[in-house]
Formats: sequence, structure tokens, C-alpha cells
Amino acid sequence: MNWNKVNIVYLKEIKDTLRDKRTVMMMILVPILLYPLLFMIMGQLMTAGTKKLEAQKSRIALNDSLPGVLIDMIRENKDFDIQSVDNPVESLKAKEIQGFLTKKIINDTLQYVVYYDGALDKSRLCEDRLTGILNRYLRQEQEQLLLHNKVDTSVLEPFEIHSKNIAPPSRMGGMLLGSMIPLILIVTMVLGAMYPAIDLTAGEKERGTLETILTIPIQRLELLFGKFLTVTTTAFITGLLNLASMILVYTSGMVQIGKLSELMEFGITPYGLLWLIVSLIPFALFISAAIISVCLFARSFKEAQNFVTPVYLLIMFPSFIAFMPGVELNRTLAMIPVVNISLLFREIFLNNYPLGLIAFTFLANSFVAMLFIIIVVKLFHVESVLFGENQPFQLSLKRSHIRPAPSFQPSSALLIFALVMLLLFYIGYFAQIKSIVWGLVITEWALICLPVILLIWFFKVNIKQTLNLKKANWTAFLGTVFTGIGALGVMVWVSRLQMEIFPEYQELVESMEKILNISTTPLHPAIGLFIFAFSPAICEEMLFRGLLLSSLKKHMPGWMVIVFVGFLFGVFHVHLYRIVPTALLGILFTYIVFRTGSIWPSILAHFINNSVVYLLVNSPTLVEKIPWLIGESWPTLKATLIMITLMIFGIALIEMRAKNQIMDDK
Amino acid sequence: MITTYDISKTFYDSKRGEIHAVCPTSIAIRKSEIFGLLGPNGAGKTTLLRMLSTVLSPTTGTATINSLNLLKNQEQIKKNIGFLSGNTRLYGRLSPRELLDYFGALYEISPQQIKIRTTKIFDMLDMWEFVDQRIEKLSTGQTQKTSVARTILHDPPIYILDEPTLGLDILTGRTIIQFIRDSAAQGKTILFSTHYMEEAEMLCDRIALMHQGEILDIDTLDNLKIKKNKYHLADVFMAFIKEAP
Ligand SMILES: Nc1ncnc2c1ncn2[C@@H]1O[C@H](COP(=O)(O)OP(=O)(O)OP(=O)(O)O)[C@@H](O)[C@H]1O
Ligand SMILES: [Mg+2]
Repeated sequence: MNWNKVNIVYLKEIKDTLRDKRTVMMMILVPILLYPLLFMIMGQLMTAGTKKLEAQKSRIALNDSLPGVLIDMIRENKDFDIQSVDNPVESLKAKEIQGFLTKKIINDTLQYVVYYDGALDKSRLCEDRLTGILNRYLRQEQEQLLLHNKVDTSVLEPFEIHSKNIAPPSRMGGMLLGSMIPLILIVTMVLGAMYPAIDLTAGEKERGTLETILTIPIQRLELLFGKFLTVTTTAFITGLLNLASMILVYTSGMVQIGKLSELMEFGITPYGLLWLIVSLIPFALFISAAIISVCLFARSFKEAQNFVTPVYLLIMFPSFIAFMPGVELNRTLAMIPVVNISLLFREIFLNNYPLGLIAFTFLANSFVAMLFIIIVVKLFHVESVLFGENQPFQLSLKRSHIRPAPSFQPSSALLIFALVMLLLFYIGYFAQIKSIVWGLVITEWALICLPVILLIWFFKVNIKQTLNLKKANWTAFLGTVFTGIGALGVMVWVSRLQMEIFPEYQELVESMEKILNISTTPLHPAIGLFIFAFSPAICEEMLFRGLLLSSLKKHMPGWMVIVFVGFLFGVFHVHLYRIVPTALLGILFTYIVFRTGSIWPSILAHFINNSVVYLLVNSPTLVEKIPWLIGESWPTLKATLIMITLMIFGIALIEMRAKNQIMDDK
Repeated sequence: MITTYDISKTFYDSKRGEIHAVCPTSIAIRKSEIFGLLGPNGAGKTTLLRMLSTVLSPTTGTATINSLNLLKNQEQIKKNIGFLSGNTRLYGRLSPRELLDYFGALYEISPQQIKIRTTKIFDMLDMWEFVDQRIEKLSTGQTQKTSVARTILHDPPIYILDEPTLGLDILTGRTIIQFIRDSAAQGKTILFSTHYMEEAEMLCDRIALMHQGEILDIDTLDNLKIKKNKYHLADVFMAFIKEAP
């Protein structure tokens, strides 16, 4: 990659972007104006509310029997407006007065009683004021009594009571700031990135300049990088302006949030500010990569806006995390984009700088951004993405209108995946909770297999091509068996490693074991194997290594299809702990089908894998002998070596077979 | 200069199914030749030219351009051709001068060279009047001149022009035609498409007649006329289409 060209593109795109009014509005005006407006309105509303209340006099009625000194004290106080009413309690109920003070003698004790209406703010305020006066009166009387008896008034106060709030004002402010600001910052940064991202991708497509730039000797990676940096810059500048505006608003005392205004001194240190600015960068990288990748699929500005909206929401929801009390940034959360940033912002506002976590956050965001960019660059080569004039998934419900096709379009395939996931969420899990055995059978055959078959029939796609129903020869099967067994060892390693890095997952592992452990429902081993090994091997392979693989492989480079389908397979198992191992397994299965062109070996591999796991979980004696098999300790070196050798041998066989096949085809 | 080997392009559209925009085609274009691609709407002219300029990759077959393989040396080929089509539009928020500076930099031409080259082009195409205005505010003719300027900025030996006179008035149209003639005189190879018969008649050394993705014939204008015994190219074309299966 030629960085000089990236720089040329970058400078030009910045110039181009700054000449676009919409972008400038979103990038500069909105963040600058938003804060003063927001806080002015908020502050005014809050202070206006309390001020109004406090400025009002409390209308009260007094009983005639009250001592003259007390009545004088009340009269002198400007807070009260004394009314004379016939029936004070009724008047209070009718809200004509807010309080009524009277004197009673009950069991020889003198009582001053304040009547008020606790449901009304005004009346509660009145009660507050009256008891205040009564306390002063009480104190006055006590002192006089002591004076009369020649006792020092200090006996009234042998000690004082103080409570001290140890949170410095900046921390208090930090709490509120730290929850509000990530949200505002995230929203404005996304808005700032959105227009340039759409403009530089879908906008360029729409205006026809993309084709021009493609006739010029510049690599697509260079072009995309220039654009990506441009959008990152705008997002970053938006964030900076946002911070600047916020600090200005806070320090200028423009805001007075009710009674809190003294506590809410702006307390961020220059050091904290530095960290805040630094942590804007990974977030800017992340959102621009995310938004650009979505926009590249759009053909027009308008379509891009539609595509961006869900992304926008997806980015916004996790940022609400910062509002949740008790959630603190830790290593796991630092790995999740957006969540990590909003929590990090809060930490910094509370004057915490967990450097390790900051580094983690940085890495996680940059990594995800990189991933997006790499995928996008790969897709950027694909013509249907660049000049995609064909319609995305169209549901024409008349089957006679549908033309036969060799396989599904990628967009349709992904939609089908989403559909199956939905079925799983809403029906599958419900059924599995009711009965694990029947639930699994229903999930596999009715929610995965059946829809796949029906959709293939309905959309007249070629079933042989879509499901990769090609015959495989024995070399492929042999290779698969070796690879499959070897892969088990790898799986154990990965799970074990995962456990070491994230001990938090221990609980998840245990909960998973409960799911797998069906010893509560004794089954005939054959039935158990049918449910836990055979059914998934057939049904899940049909969806992943059949439908998804065949419809995606023409539109992506080989390695990417393998990784992507594997990843979907991991996601499909919806278990945080299982995602990585199953995705790896999925990658392996996908690789096998990709190389052999046939689904049968991966069905076999899937069956082997699940059978072994099933048998292990249900034969405690075996587990006792070899504890590493279920991840209770590290696998022995010997076992590891054997497994790896098996796998390499298997892969070699598959590769050999694939090479021969290419020769045969020629 | 340009030789294609059974190059073809098939689009897949969910509504129309497979579209054979260009059927396997082999043509050879010589150096300093003005080669016209003539055909009605939807004949596949643009698709063929887009493939030759590396914007689209062919479904089958390949081509060599200035002895460079289309599938392998895309970067080099891009330096050897200037491609102009209705789809190669310009950045509206830049001025012609800024635009040429930008593309010049991407072609890795030095700033001094860019200055010399653009001055020459602005003179040649009579562009000085509007070089510092934003392109979005230019007229169709002015924009097309800027496009031509962009196409020839890096002084490539081959020009690939897709309907360069589309939508232009006679005056600007003539400027472009004159420019094509002059370029050929300077030794440039020009492949251009049109559906204006007169234009083809006026300019081309050889003409390829294209219809529904197929090349019906390639020959000089005179030979084509003799073959069908017609005087006007339009009639020649109709005669070919009638015979086509
Ligand atoms: N990206 C695409 N996706 C699907 N079909 C396309 C695409 N590009 C072109 N086609 C189709 O290919 C055929 C040839 O189109 P092409 O643009 O090459 O014709 P043309 O000769 O340039 O026509 P015109 O004179 O109208 O410019 C047309 O039927 C067109 O609809
Ligand atoms: Mg055309």
C-alpha cells in the first residue's frame, strides 16, 4: 500500500467533505450548539421549578391559643401569609391554605401540631417552614428556662453531629456527567461520521464518480483507507468540538442545575481531558469503519441512510450501559466496542485512569475497526457490491414468477440465516426449556431443516448445487475422520485457554454442562446419538455448509467465506462461551466442504464431533481417567501432539484430494 | 494495441436472469487507429469498453492492451489508457483545476509537470473561462471538456471513449471530434463507441458493428458499404441486423 496515495486521497476527501454543507452542519454546528442549548434549557427548567416554589409564601392558619411570642415570630417571617379561616382542617383539605398550626394538651403534655397535606409540594414546604420556626421557638424556650435556673445553655449540646460527604464535588459532577456525556458524545460522533461516510461511499456511487476513480491507478485499499481516515477525522473533530463546547458551558457557569449547582463544579483535570481526547480516537475508528462498511452496500444516498439507521441504534443502545449503576469497566467489557468507550468515558470523568483497561479498549476498538476495513476491502473488489444493480432479496410471493437459479443470492442467504435465528429464539429455546429432548428434535428438524428445504423448493434453486450434494470419495472421508478427531483436541485447547484468560466464564461453562448433561432423562444411547449427533450433523450442515456456503462462495474470496460461515456457525450457538470454539469448528467444517465440494464429509465430521462429546458427558468413568477431555486441566503434551498430527494428516489428505480433483476437472 | 480474446460479460439480475451483455468477442485494434464501436442502445458497447478499461472484470476470456494482460497488469493498463464514459463523472465540489491536480497526483505526476500539462490542455480545449468554478455549476459542454481533460491528463497512448459527444451541442461536439482527429494524428490509438452514424462515418478508420452483445462485422467503412451495397452506414447497419439470427 502506498501511503502517499492514501494521503492524497485523504486530503482531497477532507476538502470535498468540508465543502458539503450537510456534513459541516452535523460536524460543527450541532455539537457546538447542542450543549449550551441542552443545558440552558435543562438548567432553567430545574431551577425554575424550585425557585418558583420557594418564592411563594405559604398560606397558613393559626390557632388563637398560640403564645404571642410564637405568633410574632411567624409574623416577622416573610414566608408566611396568615389567613383567618373558620375551619382550618377543611380549608387545608380544600387547598385554600397549606398549613395549620395549633396547640394541644394531651396527657398533660403540651403539643404543637402542624397540619399539612403530604401529597402537595407546597404544603410539604409549608410544613418544613413551620417546623423550622417551632424548633427555633423550642430552643428559645429551653434557653430561657435554663437561664432562669442559672444553668449554662451548653448542656443542651453535649456534642454536635456532622455528616461529611467524601466525594469531592468533581466526583459528584462526574457521576452525572459521566453518564450523560458518553451518550451525547457517542450520538454526536455518529452523526458527525454519518454524512461523510454516506457521501464518500454511496454518494460517490450515486454521482458516478466511483467509476472514474476506478480507472485510475490506485489500489482499492488505498482509496478506502483515505476515505476511512477522512470519516475518522470528522468523527474525531465532532467529538473534540463536543467536548470543547461542553467544557465551555460548564466552566462558564451557564448552567445551574437546581440545588446541585454548587456540587456540580466541573472537575475534570487536564490529565483527564487528555485521556478523554485520546479515547475519542479508537471510537472514531470504530464507528467510521462500521458505518462505511454498511454504506458501501447502498446504491444511493437514501438507501445508505436506511442502512445506517439500524447501525446507529446498535451503536447507541450499548452506550446506555454507562447509565446503569454498578456496571464498571472490566476486561470482558473492555472487549466490547461502544460499551467499553462509554464506560471508559465515565471512569475518566470520575478521575480514574485504568491504564490497562484503556489499552484494552484501544486495542479492541482498533482491532474491530481493522476487521471491518479488511472485510470491506475484500468486498470492495466484488463487482456486485461496487456496481450492484441487482435488487436485494425480493419476496415475490407468486412462485410462478420466480426463475430457477443455481443458488441463493448472498443477501437472501443471510436473511434466511436471520430467519432461522429468530425461529430459534422464539420457538426453539422455548421448546428446549419445556423438554430438552423434544426441544432439540424440533429445533433441528422443524426450525432448521424444514425451512431450508421449503425455501429451496419455493425459490426454485438448484438443490444439488445449493446443498453441495456432490459425491465425495474415500480419501476425502478418511481425511475428514482424521481432521475431525484431531480437531477435538484443538477444541479442548481453545476452551481451556479461554477459561484461563476469562475466568469469569467459569459459571457459563457450568451452566452449559447442565444443558448437555441429560443424565436426568435416561435415554437409550442410540436415541441419544440420534438427537445430539445425527440430527445436528444433518440439519445444521444443510444450513451452514449447504445453503450459506454455496450462496456466499461466489461473492467472497475463499478464505473469507470459510471464516465467515464458521463465524456464523459460532454465532448460531448463541453461547458466549461456545462462540469461539464452535466458530473454529465451523471454520474447519466449512473448509472441508469448500475443498472437497461435497457436504457429506462435513456431515460425518459433525457427527463424529457431537457423538464424542455426547459419549464423554454421559460416561463419567472415562472423564475421570482423562480429565483434560472436558477442559478440567490442560491436555497432556503427548495427547496434544497426537491430535495435531492427526489433524495435519487429515488436512493433507483433503488437500491432496482437492488437488487431484482440480486435475480431474481439467 | 488492443487485442481481445473471446472476452465476454454476463450479468446476473434477479429479475431478468442471466444477461449476456457481451458475447465472446475477439477484436484487434492497431496502433494510431480510430476504431469505432457502433450499435444501438443495449448493444453492449459500454460493457465492452468498461471491461477493457479494467472497471469490470470479464466473465470469460481476456485481452491485451499495449501488450499488457488485462487480468494481470491492471495498474499498468490504467496508466496506458484514458477512459471516458457516461458513467465516469466528476467530483462536483471541486473545480476543474483542483480535479486535475488531484488525479495528476494519483497518477504520480510531479506538481510542475501537472502545471505544464494542465496549461496545455486548458489551452487546447479552451477551458480557461471556467477552470476555477465548481464542476457542479458547469454546463454539460464544459463538464464534458473537463472529463476529456481528465481522460488525457496523463498522456496515455490509448483513449477509450464511450459516446464522447452524447448530449453535446454541435459546436462542442465538433471540438471533441476535432480533438479525436488531432490525437490520432499524434499517434494515439482511439477506441470509441457511438450510435451516431455520421460520427462514425466522419471519424473511423475501421468500424465494428455491435448488436445484442455480438459483433456482426468489423471492417473499413468503404468495405462495409460494398459488402451490403448500400451508401449510408445506417442502411448498412440495418442490413446486418436483418441478417443476424
Ligand atoms: N451492472 C449491470 N447489471 C446488470 N445488467 C447490466 C449491467 N450493465 C449493463 N447491463 C445490461 O447489459 C446490456 C448491455 O448494456 P450496455 O450498457 O453495455 O449497452 P450500450 O451498448 O452501452 O447501450 P447504450 O447505447 O444505451 O449506452 C443491457 O441489456 C444492460 O441492461
Ligand atoms: Mg452505453
